[in-house]
Amino acid sequence: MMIEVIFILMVAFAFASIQAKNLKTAVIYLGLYSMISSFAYLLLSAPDVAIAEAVIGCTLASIIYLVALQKYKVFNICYINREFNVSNDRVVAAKKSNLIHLVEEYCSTKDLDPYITYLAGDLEEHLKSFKHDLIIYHEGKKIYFYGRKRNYHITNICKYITRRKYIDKEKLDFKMMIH
Amino acid sequence: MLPGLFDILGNIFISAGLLFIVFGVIGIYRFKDFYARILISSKVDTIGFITIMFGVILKAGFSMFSLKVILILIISIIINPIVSNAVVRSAYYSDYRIERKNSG
Amino acid sequence: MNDLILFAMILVSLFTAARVVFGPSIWDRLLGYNLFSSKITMMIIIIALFSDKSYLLDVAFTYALLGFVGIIFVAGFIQKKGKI
Repeated sequence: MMIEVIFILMVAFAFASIQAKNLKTAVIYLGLYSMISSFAYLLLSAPDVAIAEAVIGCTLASIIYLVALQKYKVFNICYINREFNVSNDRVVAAKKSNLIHLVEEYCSTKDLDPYITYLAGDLEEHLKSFKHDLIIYHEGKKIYFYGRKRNYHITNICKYITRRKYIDKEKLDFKMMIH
Repeated sequence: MLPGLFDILGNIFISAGLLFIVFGVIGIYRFKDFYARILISSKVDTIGFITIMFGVILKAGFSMFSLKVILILIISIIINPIVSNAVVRSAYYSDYRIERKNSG
Repeated sequence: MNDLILFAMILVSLFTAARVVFGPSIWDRLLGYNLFSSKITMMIIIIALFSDKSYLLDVAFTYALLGFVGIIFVAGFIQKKGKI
């Protein structure tokens, strides 16, 4: 019974690592996949192969994948929503709205790696210490984009979103901030 | 008589450790934000590991086998908190907050 | 008794792997990875005890020593924003 469950888990993680949209998530899935496959080797009574798989698959392969991921440019995005005070799982799931998906889509076409942080804080405080490349501020039906003037990706993101006709009822307000 | 006693004691300890681990797994589904989850699960998992290894040592008797198990136990006790610390540190320095700062 | 313990272990590790797949943030996935690797170590030791094969402990030793390197590197990679 045990070996069948392990095989099903292997197939599930291999499929998940192919389908993952975020590449860091795919690296985590691949590490877990190789750990499970090493356990399967052990159950099939080949402990020497299991040791080799554990050493190579869990550590060496994931480090090599991370070194390869360094080539991507990082795009820091900060998403602030006025309505939520506390961020837990339900809130994060609600925040994963259509807008964020569109921004991620744009980043994947331009070979950027989006690091999205969902912050619950005051806008002024984050504007004072301008650490992120793009700040998306969501208040009611208005959406503000704050970015540096020299960064041409922000105007491109706004064009992309308006071209894809992001929900008509919500007014898309666009602001640039010089920093 | 004594070997049978050790066997029963080992089974009891392994079952207690399993109970701890089941509590930890319930905890990672019961709590709704990340910091609460890692706070609960890391401690409960470490204590479950210690209890299960103690049961294994009681069942195996005092031999080379249990010496290796003790070595694995020491390594795991050292490494588990390091990993939890690294993950929480990564989350904190990436601005992952769960509460607004200045709203009562 | 032995089959019952192994069944419970594999059930618990299945639920832990589900947290890796469904975790909303990437740190939840890392947490699930850590729990899963420690559960695999426990399962190997318990199998070695029940089947009385002492050489299986070397594999558990390798897991305990090397299972955390991937987690540390991924966490540092996220913390330093894309640099190792």
